[in-house]
Amino acid sequence: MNRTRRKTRPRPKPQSPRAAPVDPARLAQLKAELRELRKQLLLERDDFQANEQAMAETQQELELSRERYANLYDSAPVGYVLLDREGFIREANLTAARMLGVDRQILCEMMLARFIVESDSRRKLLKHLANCRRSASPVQGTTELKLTAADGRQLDVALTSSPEPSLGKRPGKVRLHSVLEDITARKRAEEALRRSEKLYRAIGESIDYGVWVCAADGRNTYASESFLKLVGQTQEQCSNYGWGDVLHPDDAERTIAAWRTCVRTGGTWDIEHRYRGTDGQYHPVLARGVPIQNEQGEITAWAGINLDISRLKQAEAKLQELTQRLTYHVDHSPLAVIEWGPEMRLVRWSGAAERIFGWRAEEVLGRRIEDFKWVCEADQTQVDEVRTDLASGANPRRFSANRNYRKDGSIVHCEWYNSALLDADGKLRSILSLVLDVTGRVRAEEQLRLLSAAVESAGNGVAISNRQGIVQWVNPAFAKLTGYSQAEAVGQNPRVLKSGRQSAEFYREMWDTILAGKVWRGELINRRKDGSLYSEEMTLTPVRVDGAEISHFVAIKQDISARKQAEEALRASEARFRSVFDHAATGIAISDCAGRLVQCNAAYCNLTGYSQSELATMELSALILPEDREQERDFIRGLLDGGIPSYEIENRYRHRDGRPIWMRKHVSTLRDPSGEPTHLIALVTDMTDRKQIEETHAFLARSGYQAGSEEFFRALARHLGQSLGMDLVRIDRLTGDGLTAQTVAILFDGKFEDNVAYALKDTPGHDLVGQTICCFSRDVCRLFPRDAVLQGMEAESYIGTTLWGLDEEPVGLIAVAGRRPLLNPRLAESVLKLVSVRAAGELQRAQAEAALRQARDELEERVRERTAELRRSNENLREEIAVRRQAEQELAEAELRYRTVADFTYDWEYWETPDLRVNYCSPSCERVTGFSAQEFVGDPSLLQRIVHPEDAALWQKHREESLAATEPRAIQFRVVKKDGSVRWVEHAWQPVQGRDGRFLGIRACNRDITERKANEIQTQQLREELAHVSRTTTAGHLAASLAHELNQPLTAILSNAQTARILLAADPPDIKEIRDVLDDIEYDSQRAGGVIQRLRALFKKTGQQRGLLQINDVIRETLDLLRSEFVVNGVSAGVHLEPELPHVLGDRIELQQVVLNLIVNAMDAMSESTPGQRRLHISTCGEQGGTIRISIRDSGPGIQVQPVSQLFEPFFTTKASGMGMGLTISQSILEAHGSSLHAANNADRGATFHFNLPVHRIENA
Amino acid sequence: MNSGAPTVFVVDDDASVRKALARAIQTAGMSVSTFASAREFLDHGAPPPGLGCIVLDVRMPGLSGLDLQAELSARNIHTPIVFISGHGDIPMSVKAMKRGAVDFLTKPFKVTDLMAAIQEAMRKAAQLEASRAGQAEMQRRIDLLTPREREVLNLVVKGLLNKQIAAELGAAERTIKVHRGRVMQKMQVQSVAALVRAVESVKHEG
Repeated sequence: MNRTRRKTRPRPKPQSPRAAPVDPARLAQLKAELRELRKQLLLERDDFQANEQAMAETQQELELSRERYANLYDSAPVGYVLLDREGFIREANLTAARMLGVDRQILCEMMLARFIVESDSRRKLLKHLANCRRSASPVQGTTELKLTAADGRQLDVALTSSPEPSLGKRPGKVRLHSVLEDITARKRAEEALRRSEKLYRAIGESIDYGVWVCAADGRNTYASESFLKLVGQTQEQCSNYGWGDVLHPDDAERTIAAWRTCVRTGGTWDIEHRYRGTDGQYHPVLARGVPIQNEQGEITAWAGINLDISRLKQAEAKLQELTQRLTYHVDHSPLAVIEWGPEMRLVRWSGAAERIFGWRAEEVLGRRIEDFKWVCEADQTQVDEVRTDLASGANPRRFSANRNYRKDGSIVHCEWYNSALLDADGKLRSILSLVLDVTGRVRAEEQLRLLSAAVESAGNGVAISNRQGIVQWVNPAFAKLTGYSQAEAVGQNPRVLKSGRQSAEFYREMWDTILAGKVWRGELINRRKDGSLYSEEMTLTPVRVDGAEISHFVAIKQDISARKQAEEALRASEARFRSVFDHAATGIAISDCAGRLVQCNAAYCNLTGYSQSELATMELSALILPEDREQERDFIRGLLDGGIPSYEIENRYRHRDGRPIWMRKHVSTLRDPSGEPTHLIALVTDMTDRKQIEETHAFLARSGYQAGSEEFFRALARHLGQSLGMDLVRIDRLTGDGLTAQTVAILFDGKFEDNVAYALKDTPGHDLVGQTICCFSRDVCRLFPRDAVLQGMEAESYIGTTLWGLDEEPVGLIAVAGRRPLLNPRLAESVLKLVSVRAAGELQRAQAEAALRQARDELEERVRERTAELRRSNENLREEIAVRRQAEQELAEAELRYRTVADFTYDWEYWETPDLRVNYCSPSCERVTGFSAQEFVGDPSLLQRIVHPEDAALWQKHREESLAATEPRAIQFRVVKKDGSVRWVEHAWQPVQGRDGRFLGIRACNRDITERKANEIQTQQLREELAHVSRTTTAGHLAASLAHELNQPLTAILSNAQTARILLAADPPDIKEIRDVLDDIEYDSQRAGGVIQRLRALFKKTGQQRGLLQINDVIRETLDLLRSEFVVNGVSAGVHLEPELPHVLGDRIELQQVVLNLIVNAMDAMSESTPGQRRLHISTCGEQGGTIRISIRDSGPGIQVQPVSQLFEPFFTTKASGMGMGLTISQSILEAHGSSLHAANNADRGATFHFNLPVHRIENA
Repeated sequence: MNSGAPTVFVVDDDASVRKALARAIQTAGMSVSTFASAREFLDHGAPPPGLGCIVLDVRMPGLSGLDLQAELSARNIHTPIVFISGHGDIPMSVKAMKRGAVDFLTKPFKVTDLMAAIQEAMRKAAQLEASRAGQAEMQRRIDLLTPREREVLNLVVKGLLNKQIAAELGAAERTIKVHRGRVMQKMQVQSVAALVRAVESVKHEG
C-alpha cells in the first residue's frame, strides 16, 4: 500500500509544574489543533476499517484464485513436474502422474530418470537438465525423450524446463519447473507420414513420362493420365494386368513373363516394349520401376515410369546419316591424302596434296619417293627411318614432322600421319599418309619463341592471363616485382596482389575498359607476397586472336614505388609549409613587384576584412590610409633596388568595414636565381590595441586638471567613442543608494545629448555596479529587453566599468554600447580600466565642487530674501500714508454728495431734531403728499394731520413707542394728499447718534408704496389660485395611496358584511357576534368618510381663512393623508411633535399644503435610495424669540444645486414631472405668514427644510 | 400551533381588515392567527412546521409582503402564500406568483374567493409536507455516513473515478472501493445515478 499520509502530531505542550497563566490565543490554537487532529483520526479510523475489509476480500479472492489455479494445474493436458537439484520429482500434477502411470504421492518421491530406459534418452535428459540449470534465461528448448511408464507403456515426451524463479540462488542449485508433453501420438503420425513421403519420393525420382504404381503382388493400381491417354484406356481397364491388352502382340508374352519374374525376385524393372497407341501405331516405351520396401525390407508396392522412346529411335537413325556426312567431310578436308603402293610408288595424290606440294597428280603418280627431290636433305634420315618402320610393320602408325620441298623449291613444313597396310602374311601392301601443312604454324612458333625470349628478359613485369583473369604465364621480372615465383604465379588470380588500397569501383572500371577491348593504363598499389606494398604502373592489353573474342590479357607492370615515395615526400613538405602559411597568426601577403597580390593567408584576410579574391583585384597599397602611403614608398624602392634586404614599418590600414587598423609590417623580397626580385613578402600584425592604449594614455596626459569637469567628461566620452568605435558612450554618477544614475555626459552617434537621471534597474548598469568590468559582446539588446535606450538604438554590444571612489565605494559608471558586436572586448576593457581611475577622481572632484557651490548659493539666497522683506514693509508703510490722505479728501467730497443725494432722493426724507422739530424735509415730499417742504418745516403738526384717520391710532402708537426706541422701526400707513386722494406710505424711522453716542435726532424716510400695495393684493389672489392648483395636483398625485386608504375600510366592510350574512344563516344565529360585526362596519364606514373629507378639503378652493391653529394638528392631518403613501414608497416616517405648543395665526389649508409639499418633495428625493434607507423625520419645537420651528428632514441624496436659494425660484425643478412651482408657492405662503422657507444639506446625508412660524401673542390679539 | 390542525396566518397592517378576515376564516371553520406586521409574524408565528398557509398583505410598513415571502424562502420555509393587496399591479402579482404564491387577490375581494384560495393553498401545503418528509429521510441517511464516507460521497457525486478519489484523498483505491460500497449501502441506492439524485434533492433543500 503506497500512501502518503500527512501526519499532524500534536506538538508537545509546554508543561510547567506551576499553573502558568493560560494564553487564550494559545488555548484557541490548541483547541483548533485538537479538533483538526480528531478529524484526522476519524478519517484514519475510517480508512483503517475499510482497509481491513479490503484485505479480507483480497484474501478470499486469493484463496479462490489458488483453487482455480490448482484445478487448472491438475487438469492441464500436459504434465507439470517440479524437479529438485538431484532430479527428484517434488511436485507433479495429475496429468503427469497419469502419464507416468504412478500415483501422485509415489511419483513425488521418484526420479524422472527412473522412467527412462533408453540410454540415448537418458543422456538427452541429463544434458537438458544441466543446460537449464546453467542458463539464466527462463525457458529452455524442448528435448524429446522416450519414456517407459510404470505400467510399461512406451511414451514419447517433449520436455521443457525453466528454472524456478527465485532470487539469490546460484544457478545449478535451483529447482526446475518442467513440462512433460505426451507426443507419442504425434510421433506415430510422423512415422506414417514419413513412410508415405518415402513412397512419393521414389515416384519422383523415376518420373519422366507416365507414372505407374503396382501392388506388391504386381497388380497395377495406378497409371498416370499421360499413359492412359497414350493407350486409350481408363484406370479400371488398365488395372491388374489390363495394360497387357495394349502391348504389341510380339512383346506381350515376353513382357508379362519378365514382369512376373521381376515381382517375384524384387529386382529393378527395366524393359523396352511397344504399346498400341490410340492413333493405331505402336509406340516403343521404356518402362522402369523399383520396389518400395518398408523398414523390414518387405516389398509393399512397386512404382515406376513409362518412357516413350520413339523419339530416341528416330535419333539413332539421324546419327547414322550424320556419320556418313562426316566421312564425306573428312575426304574433303585440307589434309592431303597420299598413298604409296608396294614399291613405294605413289598411287594416290589428292587435291590437297596438289595444293601443298605444287605437283599435280599426273606429274607424280607412279613415281617413287626417290624419283624427285621432295624431302629436305636435313630430314632425309628421319624420313627413311619412318619408312623403314612402316614397311617392316613394326610400327604401322607413325607420325613424322619434316620439311619438304615444293615443286618450286620452297620448303614446306608438314606433319605426316602415316599408317601402313599390311597383308595377312605381314607383307606391306600400301602406306596411307595424311599430310598437314604446318608451315604457318611453325613460322609463328618461331616468332613467338623469339618474342617470349625478349619478354622473359624484359625489365618490366609481364603477366599473361586468360579471359577469366587466371594467370597463364609470367616473366622473371614479374616474379621479382611481386615476390611470387613464376611457378607460383601461374594459375593464380591476380587478386592475390590486391592491397585493398584501390576501391571496387577502380577495379570495375578497369575490367569494363579491358573487356570492351580497350587498353587500360593506370597506377595502383599492390601487395607483395611478403606483405609489403609497392606502387606500380600497369598497362593491361586485351588480346584477340584473329579479331575474335578476347582470349587473353597481357599485363605489363612497372615498379614506381621509388617515384611515388619521392612525390609523397614532396607533397607532405608542401602541405606542411602551406599549413604554416595558412594557419600563421601573422598575416602574410605575397605580391608581385607591382604590388598586386599573388597569394595571402587567412590571417591576412582576417586582418583586412577582405577575401583573397577581393584582394586579388586591388593594389595592396590601397589598403593603407592615404596619409601613410607616402612614407613607405622609399622603402619599397630601396627594397627593389637591392639597397636594403628588408624593412619594417608601422602604418595604418583601412579595414573593409571602414575602421582603421594599426599594422606593423615586415617586408622582404623573393628573388629568382639571377637575384632579380620577383615577389614581395609582407608579414603584418595588428597593433591597433597597443596604439589605442597609447592614445588613451596620451589623452589622459593631455587633459589636465585645469579643464572643467564637464569638458573633461565630454572629451573622455568622445575619446572612448572614437577609440572603441562605439555608438553610445555614457558616463554616469551614481546617486541615492546606487539604484539610480545621473549622467554627466552622453555621446550618441557623435552628438552630445542632455544629461538625464535614470534608474539602473533592467539596464546592464544594474549588473555593472560593484563590478569592475561588465561586458556583453553581443545580443545585449535581447538580454535587456526593458532597457529603452539599448532597445532604441538596437544595441548589440555593451561594455561598462564601475568608477570607484576613494573610499572604495562605486561612485559612477562608464558604459559604452554599439550596434555591432564588440570585436575586441579585451581592448575595450583595458581602455576602460585605464580611464576609470581618472574619471572616478574627476567625478568626485566635480561632486565636491558642486557641494561647495551649493553652500555659497544658499547663503546668497538667504541675504536676498532678507533684503526683499525689508523692502516690502517699507512699501506697505508708504501705501498706508497715501490711503489716509485720500480718505480725508473723500470725506469732504462725501458730505457734498450725501446732501445732493438727500435732496434728490425719490423717497420723502425728513429729519427731526431731538425735540421733534422738523429741521429738514426733502423736496420729494411734495410728490408724495402734495405739501411742500416749507409747509412741513413750518408746521410741525402737518404730518400728524395728513395721516389717514383709520391709521391714526397706529401712527400715534408709533410716535409714542419710537420715543423710547433705539433701533430703527418701520410701519405702513395711509396719508391723505392735499388733493384728498389716499396714498400708502412706508415709514422707516431711525434714531441718529453721533460718534460719541449723543442723540442727534431722527431720520425718517417715507416711501410711496401705493402701487406696491395694490400689487401685493393681486399677488395674494394669484398665489391662492396657484396654491389651489398645486394642492389639487398633489391630491392627484396622492390618489393611488388615498384609494388604498379607502380600500382598507372597504375590504373590512365587505368581508364583515359577507360574514354577517353567513352568521345570520346559522341556527340559531349568534346575535352578539352579529352586533360586533355591525359595530365594525359602522366604524370602518366612518373611517372611509374621514378620508374622503380630507381629500375634499384639499380640492376645496377657499379664500384666505386665518385663524388660531395648533401646528401639530395641522401636521397630523397631513400625515394621515400620507400614511399609505409612506407604505407604498417604503418610507419610514419618524414624527416628533413637541407637545403643548402655543397657537399660531395662519391658514390651515395653506400650511397643510406647505407641509404636504415638503414631505412629498422629500419622498421624491429619496425614491432613488434603497427602500430600507428611506427615512423621513418631521419635528416641531418651540424656539426662543417666539417662533415654532417646523423641520422636515430626509435621507435622500441632498440638495445638488448651488446656491440653495435657486430652489425657490419659480419653474426651477429637478424632477422630471415637476412644475417647478411647489417650493415657490410654499415660500410665498410662508411669507404671507411672516415666515420663510430654508433649506440645507444635513451633515450625514439628505437635506432638511425648515420654517419658523411666529407664535400668536394673546396680548396682541 | 401544531402540525395537526391546519392554521391560516393572516398578516395585514390594518386592524379592521385583520379582524374582519379572521372572523370570516373562523366562521368557515379553520383556525386562524393574525399578525400586524411581517416582523411580528417572523418573530412570533413563523415558521410553523406542518400544515398551514399565509394570507399576506402586500403593502405594509417595514417589511412588505413580498419581502416576507423572500425571507421565508431564504429560511427554507415554503408555506403556501395567498397575497392580498389594496392596489395590485400586474408586475407585482407576476413577481409574487413567480415566487410561488398560490393566489393574488385585490382588495376588496369576496370572502368566497379568499376561501377558495385558502383551500388551494392548504392542498399545496399537504404536498410540500409529503416531499419534505422524503428529503428528511435522505438527510437522515447522509447523517449516518462517517466523515470519510462523506468525503468519498462528495467526490463520487462530482463524477470522479475510484482512482481519482484515491489520489485526491491520499488513500488506496481498494479502500475507496470499500468506502464507496458502504456509502451506497447506507444511502440505500443501487446506482451512482440514484445516489446523485438523492444528494441533489437534499442539496436543494439545504
